[in-house]
Amino acid sequence: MKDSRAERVVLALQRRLLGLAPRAFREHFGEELLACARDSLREARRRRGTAAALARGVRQAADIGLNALRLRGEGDPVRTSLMLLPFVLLLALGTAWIDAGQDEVQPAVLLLFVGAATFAFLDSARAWLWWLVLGLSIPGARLWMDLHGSSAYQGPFLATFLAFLPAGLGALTGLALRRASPRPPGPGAVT
Amino acid sequence: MKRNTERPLTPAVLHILLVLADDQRHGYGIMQEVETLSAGRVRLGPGTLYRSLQELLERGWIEEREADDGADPRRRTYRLSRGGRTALRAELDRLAALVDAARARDLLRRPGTEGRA
Repeated sequence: MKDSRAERVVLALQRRLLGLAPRAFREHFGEELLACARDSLREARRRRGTAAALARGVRQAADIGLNALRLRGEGDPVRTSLMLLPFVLLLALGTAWIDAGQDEVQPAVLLLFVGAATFAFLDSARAWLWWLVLGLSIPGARLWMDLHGSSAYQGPFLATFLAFLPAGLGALTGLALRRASPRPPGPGAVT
Repeated sequence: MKRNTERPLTPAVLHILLVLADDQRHGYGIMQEVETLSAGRVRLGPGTLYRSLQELLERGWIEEREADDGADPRRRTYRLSRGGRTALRAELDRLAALVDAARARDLLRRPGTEGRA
């Protein structure tokens, strides 16, 4: 039975995520890994149908992406940080934009905490940098808007630096989770 | 007996070493056998599996063999090395000692006594 369109999309996603892994790993294990994932997906389809196959394919894609990033982090920390930096900047901008449009601070606090925790977990060596970038998102947005005559933000400018608190707590949480997670020789089972 | 100073093995690595203890297998075979061996409790994703295999190869605990001529070239097989067998036995000894300690504290029922009052 041929792969369905959705299955082909999932398999293509897996291949893309494998691209995050270091080249040496991809060259040695890449095709074998993808063949294994495809066999597993087809087996799930055979036993439990297309929906189950797709669910497994998505879980496997997450597993491939996560392990690819971990391998990248173990091998070339600077490159990992450079890969993550655009995402952190995007999150900082998004958080600032959301905060400027809201009267409540909870959404921004949650984003800063979860974001800092996530990036500190993925790249603990640069946890300080993720804390700094995310902590500066709100003061930076405030400064930008004040310079452009916007009144989106009220209150003292110094209060915006409170963003460092949830970002800092998140970074510490991410660090703690990273240190508590299993170390080589083996990551735990994922799916 | 040499003291095992290695950190405990994770479930994924332990199961990979276990399934390779009696036969060499290719990656998908390892994945299937681990699920069977653990009665579905441990399911290896392909990323976890191959990252573990890379680490085990670097440690010298497993060996890889290229596929036979004519077979799918992606179907490399893996087998346990002497060092891997030693590491596996050390880990199983550690777990056995834990089970014994648990039984001594009446925390585990002996096999065949489940369901009795």
